[in-house]
Amino acid sequence: MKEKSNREKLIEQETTLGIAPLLPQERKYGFLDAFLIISGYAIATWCYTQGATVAGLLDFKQLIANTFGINILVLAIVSLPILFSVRYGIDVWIWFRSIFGLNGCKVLTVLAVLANFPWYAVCAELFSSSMSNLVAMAGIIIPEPFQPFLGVGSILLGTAIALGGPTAIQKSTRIMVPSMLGVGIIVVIIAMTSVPTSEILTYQPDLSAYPGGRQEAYMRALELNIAFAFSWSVAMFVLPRLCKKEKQAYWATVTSYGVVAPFFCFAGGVLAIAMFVKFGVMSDDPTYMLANLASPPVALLSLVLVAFANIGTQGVGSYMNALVLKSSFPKVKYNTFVFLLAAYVLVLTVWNKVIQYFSSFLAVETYLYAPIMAVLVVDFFFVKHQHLSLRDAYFLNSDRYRFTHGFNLIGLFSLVIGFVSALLIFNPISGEIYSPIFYYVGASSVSFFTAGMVYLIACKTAPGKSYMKLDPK
Amino acid sequence: MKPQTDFEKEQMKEIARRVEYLENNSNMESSDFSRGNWIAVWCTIIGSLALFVWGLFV
Repeated sequence: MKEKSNREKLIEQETTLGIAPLLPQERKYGFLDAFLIISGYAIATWCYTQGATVAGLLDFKQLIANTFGINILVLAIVSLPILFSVRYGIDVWIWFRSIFGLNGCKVLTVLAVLANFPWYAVCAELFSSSMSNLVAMAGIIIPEPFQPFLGVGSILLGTAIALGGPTAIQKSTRIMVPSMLGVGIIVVIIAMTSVPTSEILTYQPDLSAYPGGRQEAYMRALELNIAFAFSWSVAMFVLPRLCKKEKQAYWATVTSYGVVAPFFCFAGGVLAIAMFVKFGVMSDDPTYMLANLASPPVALLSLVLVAFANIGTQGVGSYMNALVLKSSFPKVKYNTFVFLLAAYVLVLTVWNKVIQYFSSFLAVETYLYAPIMAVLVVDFFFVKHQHLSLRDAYFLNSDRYRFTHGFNLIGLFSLVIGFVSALLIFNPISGEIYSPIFYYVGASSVSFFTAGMVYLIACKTAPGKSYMKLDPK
Repeated sequence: MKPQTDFEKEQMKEIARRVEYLENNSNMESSDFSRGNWIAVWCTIIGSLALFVWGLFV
């Protein structure tokens, strides 16, 4: 009972501090601390799925240019509002109240988590795949229709970790991060040694399905990498606010999400190319590739590490996303969110189609996140000029950011315009290209600029200024 | 946003205390992100964009 009380106290403390501003003396991370912690979270096994998917569209040099160029570019821009997170000690969702209103934030939080959580179904699918491959090595073949149910084990164990709260998360991270690094090192070694380097360098993807050829494939890869870069943004500001200095938080975030995670995507891509060169088959399943390219003992070890890593990722992901939801719905119990998220990812896992529709779900996610982050960057630099009244953002005897029944129509309208402008260019579900603009800049970048520009123009007009209740200073 | 339960009241009280502390004891208008950092940000943006564009022509 006492243990339960302590656990609840810890979760409460975490959620309370997740909403309240952190004081300067409570911020404890330097660059290295933040870099290691964020990198540990960023190098999830889905990096390999992402890399393998992109490698189906690009040759080796393009893989480097597209993966690193886009991830670094997007992270360098969208991480800039981290400066306010450190200065004020608050999470981004508090600032969002001044852009979208409190109820607007509630809607966006739910949508953002719904769009983000299929990543964890990818984890569960990879877990079931690694378990299937493991038992197959022992001579037992699990019938294909039953394989998705193996992923349920990963979800249940991950949910148990999330229910354990911060202490369980901390312990699971100690297993997860070395497992991830172990897999990463094995993947890089296998990718570089299983086939001659010259064959990897001269690899050409099969682009017969794309009428626009290399240009179209490069832009489709652009969409995938933009989506990957944006996918961190929901919970991206939670950890950096614990940093002592703005520059430490910013550069730790950019290097972790913009360089380290893409490096593992790149490794996954090279592994997929190696698989293609050796067997003539392009796979997007890292466990299948490890089982086939590595020697049996190494394959066994790597599949066990993948399984452990996925359970840990599931736990950390449930915890962070439940906290994001909790920040908008403080009255709902933390455990309720963890169970709801588990049920959601269970349905997605048993459905067993998330990896098959990987590109579509990534595109849908980025259509939501790109305009949100555009509005945030514009608001931070050009509308509020890096200043926010904390009293108003926390509604401390203030109704300044209540707007229209809790919804800020200007902020939400900008999102809709950004969303629609991307839809007019590219259909994220069918993959159909509607406009030639796609061949030059993609679709989500248009969404980013359109939403940002609409928001900026609206806020510079007299009625807009009045509605936004902007500080005359 | 009116607090209703005891927990919410405590939460709002704690938030108010922290906001007041920050307003009185911390300079929220100043930034430690120096000019050198901004130059590095611009170099990163231009460099990564150049890397992406290079990929179009290789």
